[in-house]
Amino acid sequence: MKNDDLTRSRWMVFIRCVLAAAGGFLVANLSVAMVGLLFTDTQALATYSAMLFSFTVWLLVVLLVFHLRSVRVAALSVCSASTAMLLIVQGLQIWRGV
Amino acid sequence: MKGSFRQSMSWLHTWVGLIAGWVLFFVFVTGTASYATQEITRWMQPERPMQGPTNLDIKAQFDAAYQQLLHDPRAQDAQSWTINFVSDARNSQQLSASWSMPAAEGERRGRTETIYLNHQTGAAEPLTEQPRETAGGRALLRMHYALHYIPSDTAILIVGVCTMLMLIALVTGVIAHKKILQDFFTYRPAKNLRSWLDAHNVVSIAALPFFLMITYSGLIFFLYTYMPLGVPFTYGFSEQDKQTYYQELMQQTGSQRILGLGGGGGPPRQAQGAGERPRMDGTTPTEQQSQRSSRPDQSAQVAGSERNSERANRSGQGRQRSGEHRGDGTATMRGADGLGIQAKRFVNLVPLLLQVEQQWGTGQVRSLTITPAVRGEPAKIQFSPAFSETIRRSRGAGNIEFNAFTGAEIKTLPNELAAPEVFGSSMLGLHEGLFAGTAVRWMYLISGFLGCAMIATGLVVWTVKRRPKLEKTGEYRVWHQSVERLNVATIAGLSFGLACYFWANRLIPADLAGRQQWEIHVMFISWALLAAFSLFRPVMLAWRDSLTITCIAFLLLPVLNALTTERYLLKTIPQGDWVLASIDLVFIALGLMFGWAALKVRSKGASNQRRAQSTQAMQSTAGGI
Amino acid sequence: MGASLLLIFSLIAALAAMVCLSLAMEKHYQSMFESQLSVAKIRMLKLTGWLLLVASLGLCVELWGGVIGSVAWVGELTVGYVAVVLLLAWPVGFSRKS
Repeated sequence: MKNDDLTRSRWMVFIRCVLAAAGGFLVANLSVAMVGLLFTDTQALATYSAMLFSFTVWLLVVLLVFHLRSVRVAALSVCSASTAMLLIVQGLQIWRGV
Repeated sequence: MKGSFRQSMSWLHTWVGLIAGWVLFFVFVTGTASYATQEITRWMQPERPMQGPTNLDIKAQFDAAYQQLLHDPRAQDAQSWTINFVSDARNSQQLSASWSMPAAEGERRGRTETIYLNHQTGAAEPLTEQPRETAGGRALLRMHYALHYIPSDTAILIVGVCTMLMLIALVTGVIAHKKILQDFFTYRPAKNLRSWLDAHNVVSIAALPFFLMITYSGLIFFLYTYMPLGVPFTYGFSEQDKQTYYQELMQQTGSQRILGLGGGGGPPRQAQGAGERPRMDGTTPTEQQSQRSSRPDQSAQVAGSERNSERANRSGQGRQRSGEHRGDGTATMRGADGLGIQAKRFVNLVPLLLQVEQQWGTGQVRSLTITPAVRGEPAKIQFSPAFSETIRRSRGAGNIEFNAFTGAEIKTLPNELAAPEVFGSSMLGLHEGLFAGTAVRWMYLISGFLGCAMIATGLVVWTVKRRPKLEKTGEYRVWHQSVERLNVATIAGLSFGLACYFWANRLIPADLAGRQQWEIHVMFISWALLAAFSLFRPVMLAWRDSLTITCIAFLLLPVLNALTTERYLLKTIPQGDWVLASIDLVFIALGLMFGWAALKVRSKGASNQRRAQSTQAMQSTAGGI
Repeated sequence: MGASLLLIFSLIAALAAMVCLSLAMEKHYQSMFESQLSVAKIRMLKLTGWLLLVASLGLCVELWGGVIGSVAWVGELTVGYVAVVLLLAWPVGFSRKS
């Protein structure tokens, strides 16, 4: 019984680590593209600035993932955030392409 | 996570710190030493002349050095002449004249040769022996981001992950610190865990701005390696897209270089003049740069700068790059007079020198560089200041340049840089601290040392906090013990390895082939030996013995130095060469510190033993009753 | 004023500022003086401390210019802070009671 709890909580910690590492990485990189594509005139400069800032984004995701009480909520919010950002980036690219 | 925000952050701090701690300790120790790269290299080449204050004014220095350049037959076809004055700049109390030859076929950069001049008399000082080849301070500099014995790409990723973890640990540490204001100045000695925690808190707060800066800027050095998808998501995934980005970026930032590719475009020109004497420490700044640039995106950078120079030439701004003399030297010389012949047509350079000195102040002219006329450009004389007015990595900022034929000043307009570029390059400049004079450099060294102390105390806190509980429940087993052993192996072991690095420098024969590599091997072998030794001993004894050994290794270094060289404290201090002397003095200080720590562990061990004995005695009397 | 004098004065100002700010805290004041720490004294010490900090910054800027000066100032604060913590923790001497 106690062992099961321990194994479970270890799994939960492991999932959080994966979320923080992979999710944070994805969100940080997507945030770069989002900012970059928003600025048409100075796209490179905006991308560069967002690159400089992206480590902070990653940091915030990590803090959030380890702060939220429920792993499910953490997973949901990271996944939905990255999906939403991916869609926005796609949308911006299409809009810019036109 | 369970509990409050603060509790979850505290949990994160604990584990992130533990995971990254050992690698970060290595990075911080070697990185701190890198603030004295040039100084350490000079210590490791005791054949080089001592430095010190001078009686000669700048005109006398110039005359002495310029005569050497004018009359040395080897210097006549050089692509640049450089005179380093005795100045207030870093590591710059040595008068010298040097010349760089055009790069020969297949060379990235031509040879540079240097004549040292006695800074009291101005006479040339023949080197009795060629300075020994040494891995020097540069090897430590490289190790702090590229480690050793593993491919540098992998190493940079490992260091990057640990740097990110460090950033997390710093921020969570501040959040988790319950009484950061109440306990701001508090250190309570001799209270075991409380004392360790206090020590960890105090050293962390002490240089917190430095730690945040150094961690964040460490990430920026390899921006495109650590955030590899940002640009592809915006511009597309092909090589062409990447080039488009670099091209646009250079236009929009107004910078000639792309930051974040690793070396960030190489060290600023400043590092070349007086400070980093080319050749003397085995490599030139360009080689240094190429070593630093063993990184994924190198090709992009090279392509970028080529395109850029084309653009600069087209728009008639080629001058901005005139401070750099790269491998195109063969073309430089073709069909033109050598520098020695051209020099006969120069105006009198002394008034120019005096004018610059008046503008900057006595002791503030670090060096001058003369380049021959080439491809429609006149011959130029360029003066570099001993001070820096900016923290940014800015090549040749503050230099004053004259046409050597007419004596007219050549003004170059500084580029207007976009704010993000200023921010980025300031961060990298702050990280490297090349702008720092003596006082600020010591502050950097102290801050770096506090960083090492922060990581070391943090690792110790982890074990001290858990051990009593585990011992009570009988769960004090392999896992916890190995953390304790790894702490000894890393903290004392690496320090010992570093001491042995300097021992190796003095003891390995000066003419042994590949001795640089052996210096480094000795460092890691001795580290491994001490680590192995500490793995098989009870923890307290391992601490005591390895700290004692490290203490002895550091304390004997100045003695060894006195026995094997002519650059020991009794020689360097009377000469006024405080740079060399301070390295020996730091060895002594480190030795004393490790000795003090060893004594602490010894008395701690003794009191533990007494306590154990008295409890045993009580138990036995209790049993008797 | 010579450069080294400016440096020494700004370091002393940073150190003195840290001493004042630490003495403005009850427990450190108690470890130094027998008398009670009044509200007026706290205000006085804090004010002096902050003024000294500003003075030290001013001297740094005078010596190194704005940008490098403020970097150097942060370094001086580090040095002053460590020195004061060591002084307060010193078993004998500076702090009379412990």
